[in-house]
Amino acid sequence: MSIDWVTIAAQLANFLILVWLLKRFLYRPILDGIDAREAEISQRVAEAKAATEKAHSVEAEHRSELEKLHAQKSEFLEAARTKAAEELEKLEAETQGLIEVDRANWQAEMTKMRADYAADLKAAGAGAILSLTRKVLNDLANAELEDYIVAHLEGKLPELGQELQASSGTSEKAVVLTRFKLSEKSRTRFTKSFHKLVAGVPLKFETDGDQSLGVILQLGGARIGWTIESYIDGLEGMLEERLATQTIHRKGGS
Amino acid sequence: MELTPDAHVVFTAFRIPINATIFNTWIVMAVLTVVSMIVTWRLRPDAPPTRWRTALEVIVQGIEKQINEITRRPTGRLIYFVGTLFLFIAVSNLLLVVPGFEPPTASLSTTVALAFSVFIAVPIFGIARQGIRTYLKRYIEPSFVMLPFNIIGEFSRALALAVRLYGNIMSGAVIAVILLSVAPFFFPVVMDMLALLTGLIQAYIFAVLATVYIAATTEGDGKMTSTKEE
Repeated sequence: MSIDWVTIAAQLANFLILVWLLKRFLYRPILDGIDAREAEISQRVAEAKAATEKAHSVEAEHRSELEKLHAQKSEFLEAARTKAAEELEKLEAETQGLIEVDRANWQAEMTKMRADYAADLKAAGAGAILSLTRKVLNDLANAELEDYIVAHLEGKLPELGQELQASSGTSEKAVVLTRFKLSEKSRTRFTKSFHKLVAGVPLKFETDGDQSLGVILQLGGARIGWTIESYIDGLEGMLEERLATQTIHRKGGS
Repeated sequence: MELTPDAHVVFTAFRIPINATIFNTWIVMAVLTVVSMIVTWRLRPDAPPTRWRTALEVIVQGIEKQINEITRRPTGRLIYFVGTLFLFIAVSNLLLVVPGFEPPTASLSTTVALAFSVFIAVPIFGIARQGIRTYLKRYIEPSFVMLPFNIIGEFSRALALAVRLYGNIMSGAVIAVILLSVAPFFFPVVMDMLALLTGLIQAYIFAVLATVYIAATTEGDGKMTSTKEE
């Protein structure tokens, strides 16, 4: 075992050169690469952290917006419900009003129809009564009854005196029309009563089968008489007038 | 039987004989440098690391981690020195498996040179860290009487390092030679496998001890500290 100092010096120099070579080609590139990679990783981690924080911030912002929108939605819904309720109430009131109006109209219509029906019924009843009366009187008509009518007209002649005298004028004759032939006694008595009012005008008695029961006196342009037909016509006029008056009163009352 | 490759002259250049120790050291240096150059060629931080680069990173970071654990502070330039010690010794010892290759660490000259480098590195790192006054003050601690003992301690430490490495490597070679004569086809294989293991362990121990020595001299209190021996 020996120590070669030249070799020691050479090995020392070799070792120092190797230190420099490895520093130049191994340690520095590797350590710098590791440092650079760590720096890059740190940067990426920082970027990822920043991105995460930003994402959290955006998430919080969106969450806040969402809550705000939810609140607004609730408000809008509440407002819409309130408005819908008011609208419903208003529509119900309007509908109720329309129903009330319709009901009033209907009731008025019904009242009118009832009144018209009652009026029609009364008119029909009156017509039926009149027809019946007319039929009864026509059925009961005979010469004797006509004599009674003549006697009745005879009694009213004094009331018509002036009218008869004014109508006589230039008339040359007066005609008494009846349905049946009057008795002689009735003719004489009527002629006498007539001549008391209108003297000098001959009176002629004639019959007409188509005429209604009663007496008609024709003197010039005047026509005075009392017949069942005219009597019933007068009664019918009275009834119509009465029904019309009642209808007007009822309409005014409703 | 030749125990040291110093006596084996490979060639002569400019009348200077180049022995196997120096020549094989160049081979180890070439291997380490070329591999490092190939792996770190066009290294870019954004490119994904290759397998070789990852392997080198593991080695370098392993060395850095070991130094950090011993010194308990950032490695600084210490990794260049200690890392090179480890890699040189480890690769030299691993190349033992190459037939005909004599590890330079089997030469006492090499181990002395490495120990001498540690002997020089200790005051350099100590002065660089603490300043020359603080560093030299260590030798008269705790009193001036301790100065010769401290100086002797420094030399003995370097000597112990050199002899330890040389002894381990050389003993492996000697044992291999002896066993080769006893059982030429079986024992060499086993001994070579054992030599690989002990070679790596020696590289590790040498590097760790160098780190411990340097760390002991660069501690803040400036006192000599006892070191962990093998």
